[in-house]
Amino acid sequence: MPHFTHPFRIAQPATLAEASRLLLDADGAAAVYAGGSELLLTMKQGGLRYDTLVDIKTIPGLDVVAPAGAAISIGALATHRSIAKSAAVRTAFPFLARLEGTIANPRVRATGTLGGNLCFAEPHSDPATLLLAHDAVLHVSGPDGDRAIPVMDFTIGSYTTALEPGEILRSIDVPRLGANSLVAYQRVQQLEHRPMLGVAVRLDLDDARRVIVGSRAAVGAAAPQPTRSEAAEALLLGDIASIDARIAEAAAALADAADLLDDADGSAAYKRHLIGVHLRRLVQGALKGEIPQIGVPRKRRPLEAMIGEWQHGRERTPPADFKVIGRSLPRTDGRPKVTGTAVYTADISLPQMAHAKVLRSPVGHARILSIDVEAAKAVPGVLDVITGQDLLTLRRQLFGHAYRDNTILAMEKVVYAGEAVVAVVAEDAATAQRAADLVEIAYDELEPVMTPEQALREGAPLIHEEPHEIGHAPGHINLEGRAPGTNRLTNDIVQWGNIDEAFARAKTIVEGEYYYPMSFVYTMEPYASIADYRGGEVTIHTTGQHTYTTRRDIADIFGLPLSKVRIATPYVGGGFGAKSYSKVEPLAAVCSWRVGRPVKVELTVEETVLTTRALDARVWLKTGVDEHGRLIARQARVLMNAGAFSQNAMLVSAKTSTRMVGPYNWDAVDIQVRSAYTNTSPGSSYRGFGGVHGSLPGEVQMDETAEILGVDPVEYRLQNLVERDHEFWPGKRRLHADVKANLRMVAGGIGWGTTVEPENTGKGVGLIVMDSGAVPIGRSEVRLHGDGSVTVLTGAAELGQGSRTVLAMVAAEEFGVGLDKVRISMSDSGVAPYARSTGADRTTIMEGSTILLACQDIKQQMRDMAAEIWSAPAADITATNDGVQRGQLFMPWSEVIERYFTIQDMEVSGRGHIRPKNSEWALIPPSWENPVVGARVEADPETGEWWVKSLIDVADIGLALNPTLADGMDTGSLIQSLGIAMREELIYDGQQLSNGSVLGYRVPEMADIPDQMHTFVVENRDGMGPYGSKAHGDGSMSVVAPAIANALHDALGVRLHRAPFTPERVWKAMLDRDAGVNPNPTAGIPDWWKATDWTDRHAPKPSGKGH
Amino acid sequence: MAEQAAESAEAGGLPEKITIQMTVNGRPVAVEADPWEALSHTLRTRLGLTGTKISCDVQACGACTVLVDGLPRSSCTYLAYEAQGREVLTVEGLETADGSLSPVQQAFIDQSGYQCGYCTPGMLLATHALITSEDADDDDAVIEHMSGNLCRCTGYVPIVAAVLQARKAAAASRG
Repeated sequence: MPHFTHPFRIAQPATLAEASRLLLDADGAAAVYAGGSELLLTMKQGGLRYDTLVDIKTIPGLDVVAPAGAAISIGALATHRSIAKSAAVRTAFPFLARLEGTIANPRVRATGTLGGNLCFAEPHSDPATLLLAHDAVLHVSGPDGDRAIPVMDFTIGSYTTALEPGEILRSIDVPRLGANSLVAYQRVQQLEHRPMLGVAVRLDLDDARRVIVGSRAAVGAAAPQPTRSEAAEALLLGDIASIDARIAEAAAALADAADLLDDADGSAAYKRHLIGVHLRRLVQGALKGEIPQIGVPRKRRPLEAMIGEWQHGRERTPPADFKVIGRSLPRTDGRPKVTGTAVYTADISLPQMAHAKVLRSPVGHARILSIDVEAAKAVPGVLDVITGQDLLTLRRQLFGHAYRDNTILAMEKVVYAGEAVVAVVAEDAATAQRAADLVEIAYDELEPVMTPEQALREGAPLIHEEPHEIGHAPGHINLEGRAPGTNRLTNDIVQWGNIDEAFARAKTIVEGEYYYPMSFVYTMEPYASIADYRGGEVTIHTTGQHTYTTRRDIADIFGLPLSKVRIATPYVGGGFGAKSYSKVEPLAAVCSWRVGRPVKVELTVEETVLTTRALDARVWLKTGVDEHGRLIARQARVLMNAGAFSQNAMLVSAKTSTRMVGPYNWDAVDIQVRSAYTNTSPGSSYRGFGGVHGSLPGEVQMDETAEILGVDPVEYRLQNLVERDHEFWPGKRRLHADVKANLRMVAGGIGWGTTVEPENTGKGVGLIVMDSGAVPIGRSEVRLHGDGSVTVLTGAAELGQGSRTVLAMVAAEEFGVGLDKVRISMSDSGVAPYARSTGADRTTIMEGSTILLACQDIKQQMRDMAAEIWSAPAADITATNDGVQRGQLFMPWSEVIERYFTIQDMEVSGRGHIRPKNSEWALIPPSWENPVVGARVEADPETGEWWVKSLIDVADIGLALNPTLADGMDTGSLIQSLGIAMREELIYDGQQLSNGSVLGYRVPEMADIPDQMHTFVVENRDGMGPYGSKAHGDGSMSVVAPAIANALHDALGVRLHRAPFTPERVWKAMLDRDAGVNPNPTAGIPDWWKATDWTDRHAPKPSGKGH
Repeated sequence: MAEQAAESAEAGGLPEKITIQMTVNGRPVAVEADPWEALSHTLRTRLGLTGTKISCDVQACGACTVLVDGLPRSSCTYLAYEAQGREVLTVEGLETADGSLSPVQQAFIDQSGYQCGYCTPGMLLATHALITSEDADDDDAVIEHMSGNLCRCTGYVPIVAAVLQARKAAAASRG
């Protein structure tokens, strides 16, 4: 929330003595406020609370950086930025300047101070480590006068310094280096704000520069405090000619001296290894006079060259048979989005609007014994304190489109840490939060069940004791996997052929276990809803993708008719599946229902990840190949952690089973996916779900199979891929794509078989077919106005994908007008017709088709109207894109309307819909999506760090209605999924999510982009959408991880079976490689799967046709 | 003092309000605020400037970036009172006086450097600060500077294209 919850005072002393007195008088309730970047952050997160901040920035002279005798004195209030820019520092201490210039981000560097950093003593910060090598001295002032503290004695522990009460850091003196002294520093950093290791070294040489006569060696960010090792320093002394022989021992001593932590950043063993690598590189580099960059040792291609090539690759000739379609017209939402006038949910304020805050369960599994809300209710400004028991008069207390298992507020028990238990409604959000902190809840804890393995074992504690109702929109989801009385949620099976017979025939069999991590979508915009429930009807402004399914959830909760529920979705700050179905809308609605005023609920990012995350997949996969090298059998067993509520996990499970098949000509397939309820944050949709889960095992094993057969992995795929128009999946839509041609394009794009990669650089590919498009249901209305302009009413939400531009282009094309003459509605159930959802790459092809049909409806009406005007049979009249024509006669739209209705500004409205029955949309899937991705990576063979050099893909899209928006989807999804390949993984530590924040869960940043990106856009007009377009947007997301895993094998000879491919995992894979560990042991269906088989008495019916 | 503050908080009474006089988007503003409030709150709630977005709220994502005296700041963790007497620039202040888009805004439109638009105000301001700084011509510095702002939609490449276009425009206008 954009406000601190607990008020504090600001004191502004004029002198250090006064500041010191203020601190002493406050007795721990006051803190020095310097830059505040770490202090305010921690206070905002609730980690620290002070009544007073003593702002010492008003004391003059504390921010000066200036020579002071044999040292350079850095004022405690000098910002990181000013130190990095200081000419004196840059000249005397280039590494300090570089370190200060790369701390956190430019905003932190402009505000945060070196002094504040040292006094905060956050263990993952690195300046103190470098200052140890410099023998810096800290000057402090306190009640007993001034004193000087060597930096070595200053940081004495995690968040702990040698400062006595009332003492304040004044300046940091960094002694100038002698002419023969060298200093070097390296930081290992996987998260922007958290270096995981810093290594600093100083070498003092004799006058001949042949002998090291003095040294410093320090390590930080990997232990509770930065540490020097005198043993290591002693080992570095001596002749530089023989230094290489002493470094390893020195590094071992340095690692021994530090209390290296085994934590989320990495194991102590890996940190020890890195200390060895970096101490050697620093010493050798320093002796050669090198000043390397701090961070990943990557040489980036010049940006102008990279962007120039990327832009050139996007150029294409627009199709001659359209005037609007096929053009990269600027988005219609450009101006509002670059001027700050585009309205998102959190920007909306309503008269009398109150604010709600949520108290969440601190435990994973417990019965609620009591909730004491009295103290919270007594806080002035609090309007209501709501618990689950207050909802009993509602028609329903649970919601969910597939299974109604999602609580609005916990009822008798809590089923995960983070579940909403109490809502406090108050005049403002800070008051609501303070009051929520006063609610007392007594829990009787139950045994938590954190993994699907635990949840599916016989006799596991039951998470949901009652069978739940089936929801209002189970749709095509297989409900037979849910077994009441167990924690089993899904059991999805895809089978055809005889798997045993096929494996018996197979000459080569390859097996392996793989893991795709639990992840978090992190849309930039967190969940927010504003509900106004008054007068027997409710309006909700919200951040959703599924306006109309949420409408039904709300109607079902309150027993309201659909017409009395209005869901209005303004601009949405990214969806990617995370905003599909209902999230905070029910809570906002019940808050408003209780207080009779509009209520806004804005979640933090931390609360957002506790509302919905994405599922993981533990996979065992087996491939059978016949004597001709033909792929004949694929068998898989998959376990997924669905979390505490089903949300859309059932479809994720189903799509994992179908998307694991792959575009190959299997004789037999046997894929089984199970998911289970657990006491974790609910798992649901994330862009490309099922595809991402299926392709990592599928496409890595494809490379492994090729390697075992001794054939080229691309050639091997080409031999086995499905041909265009082949019914490779019995009963499904034929494959309307040439995947082989697409693979050849991508392989060519990364120079497969033509360019030789340098050492430690490699290439890889990955591909998949996805059954995209979701349920083909939707309708649109189009109005053609008397002046020729057009209004389009569609329920599709603008999530950033550009639907309001592309759908408007369809109407503009059909009526021969410019895009500036078309207005398109926001997704608003009070205005726009029903749309099933916005997701699954369905909007352009499905809503676009309904708009096309609505335009055709108008044209038909126009022909009839013109027939009356011209007194001619309608059959003689044709509708063009500009008006009606009869022989040589032509009448523009506006004239038809004016002459027929007798006034100028009348309108004609048309409607269009699609449905899955009795139509061309009946065949599943509505659209195959067949992404192919090629990657080139370069790796550090010692540290396991890697970075992407090229990322190339295919968008086989039928027709790009707006090419820039179309391939923009690919650029976005390629980089988004790069995050999962690199470092994204949600981690549970016991019952708690340990990294559910933007600080702990780092998504890709600009520094991660490769030197080369390109999307081959394939346009064969072979899809079901308008003008032959096909589903597009998610696809390439699915195959980045396997392409990179395969490229890392090409580069380093390692097999990576578990994403993300963190440097530590790559390092361990190198150790396995060197030890000759077989990544593909043939062990058969694993025990972790067999242990779930006791529930087979609920055996579902296999579904050869998928879902 | 601890008890007093806690009491006043729990009794709903807030510490004394202060009046912040600052320049926002070129216009002098005097606004009543709590001494403990973040600038993002002052801008969004008290001044109605909702173009500044809140995402991580802990200075890591850049969505709430504003410029104070020309330097980018995370308004989520920048105390409003610190803006006393300073110049604050938000996305609403980027348009030129005649209502035309600034070169940075135009570059983001031309290069399709946005999709959902939620990170865009912060991206625009980060770019605005970058292209007038000495870091603008150093590619590594450009990447380092812009890596402080997260975007989930575009894959950054179109944003890099926009930054380069804006950098050229700034260089051209300097002559």
